[in-house]
Amino acid sequence: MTLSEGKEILRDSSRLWWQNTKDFWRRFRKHPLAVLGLVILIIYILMAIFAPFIAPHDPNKQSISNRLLPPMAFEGGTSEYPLGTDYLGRDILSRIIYGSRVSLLVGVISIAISVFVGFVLGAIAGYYRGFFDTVLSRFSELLMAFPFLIFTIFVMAILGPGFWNLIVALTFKAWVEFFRLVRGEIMSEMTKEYIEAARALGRSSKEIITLEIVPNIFHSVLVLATLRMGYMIITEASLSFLGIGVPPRIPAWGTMVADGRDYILNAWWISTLPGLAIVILVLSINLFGEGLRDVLDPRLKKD
Amino acid sequence: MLLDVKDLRVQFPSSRGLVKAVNGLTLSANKGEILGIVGESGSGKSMSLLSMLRLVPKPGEIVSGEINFNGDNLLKKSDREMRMLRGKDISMVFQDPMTTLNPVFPVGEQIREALRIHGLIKGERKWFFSDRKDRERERVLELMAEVGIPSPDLRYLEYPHQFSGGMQQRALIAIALAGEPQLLLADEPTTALDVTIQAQILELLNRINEEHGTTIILVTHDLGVAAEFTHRMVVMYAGLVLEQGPTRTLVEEPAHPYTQGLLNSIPRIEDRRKKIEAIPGTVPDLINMPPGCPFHQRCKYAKRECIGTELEMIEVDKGHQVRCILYT
Repeated sequence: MTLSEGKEILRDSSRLWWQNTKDFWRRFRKHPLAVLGLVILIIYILMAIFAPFIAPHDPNKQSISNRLLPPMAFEGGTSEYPLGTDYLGRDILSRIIYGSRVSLLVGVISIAISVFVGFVLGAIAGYYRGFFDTVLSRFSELLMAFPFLIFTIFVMAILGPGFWNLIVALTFKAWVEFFRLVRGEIMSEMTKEYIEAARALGRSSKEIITLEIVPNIFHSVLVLATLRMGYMIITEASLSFLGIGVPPRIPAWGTMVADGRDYILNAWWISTLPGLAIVILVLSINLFGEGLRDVLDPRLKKD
Repeated sequence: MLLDVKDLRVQFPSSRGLVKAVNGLTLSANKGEILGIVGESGSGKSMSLLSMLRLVPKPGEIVSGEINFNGDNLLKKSDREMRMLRGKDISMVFQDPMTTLNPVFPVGEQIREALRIHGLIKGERKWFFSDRKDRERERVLELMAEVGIPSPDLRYLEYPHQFSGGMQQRALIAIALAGEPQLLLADEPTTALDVTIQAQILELLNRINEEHGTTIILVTHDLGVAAEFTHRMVVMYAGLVLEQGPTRTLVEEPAHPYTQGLLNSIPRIEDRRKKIEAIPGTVPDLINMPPGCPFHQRCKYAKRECIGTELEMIEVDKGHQVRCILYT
């Protein structure tokens, strides 16, 4: 940056923002695997948004004459069903495309709610401590004592299958991790001198939390959120596999894997391909999250 | 008189009992002077400074006393009123500049934030946008130049870790100056810096004092620093003032045995043969304070009467007061 450039940037606030974005991208590019993860993630997101336009068939349309067709690269496959069909003659490719909607929505919504709840409660508990903190901490320890999958199965068994019930079951326990992370981070940030300095400048407690501490801990929350999102997607698939996730009429990858269970020896593609879709999605999310961690940590910023 | 502290007491409850960090502090600062507070670690000087902004960390609290700033008792103000005062009328510079700046924001933006908190710069509307931000940035660049940060344009967007210790401290002084405060509290502002940088920072504080007439209270454990840069000095020990007076008098004719001891323990380069005399013993336990003079256990002139009697400050010369039985 030259002197005149520096002046230019100061004159115009939008340039400042642009500069930061460019900075972010420059550092993010240094992690090729993270970029790959981001690209795959974007493909998945586009696929979910434009599913009706991309999918060659109606995902629920059955065609008895075209049952158990293999993918087109194998003997007996046709280009009409590029990834084959299942035991009811439904197009696997279309079902995978539509299935990405469930997986991504469940992942994003359950994580968003968990982060929000965990963040607010964790910030209050970590900053003010006291009775509120004690109660919440003990409650979170209680929830931590249950295995995640078993707990969600338990909640689903009570609520019954359904999209929003699934979200409730997943967030019921997932917020705890964000609560504990935020609470711990806030408590450690509280000991730093910049908090005292902010107070000496006349900032209120609310401003200190939101304007001083949150930007310092936001990156670790974001990284945990991306990593946990993969886990949420896997849990959703597991529940759907067990038949207690989303209702069977909505195409979901977990349900598809379960559908192919009985045909695994002579029609391997029914289970394998949606399984592969899950693996690739979760892997790309994790790769992206790892890269994000390296880029966002302000303490690692280097020129 | 700008600041007048009367019989201030700060206590911390602990599992062993009450820690009496500040124990009846009485001092005053006049407009435009640099007042030094010197003392060993644990003498309560930092706590006294924090209590002037009512920022004593929990669970500590100010149990009694008065802090009059421009005639208003700060201890009677509401939390909101105190917030309005902090960073505007009274600012503070901290000891460790590295940790005092928020690591995630550019330094210039942090200085701008100090202007924004108190709405010090008003903007004008042009179309739909206010030009407040731009005006604030201009002012920040001025402030950065004033505290001696070279090429502020370039450094505005740099992060704290890209600044050296001395530059960080300059940035913090710029933040403190943003509100054009009447009183600047400096808590060992040079302790974490190199000796050469120390002198520059002190020179800067001195210039601010001369140009703006800002009253500065400088807390330090370095008697040399205090002797060189302050107009008046207060010697604290165990949360109590033992001696106060014009810096010159205190350095040349120290009255209290403790001040004498402190001055004798400074190594002098011109006289190598002279032995450095350390004061024996340590600061008394702030939970079980000895009755009477807190220094009697380490004092070479201690008499039996020192133990029981609580002494008031005794005026030995004009403006020079001492708390010692030798002068009764």
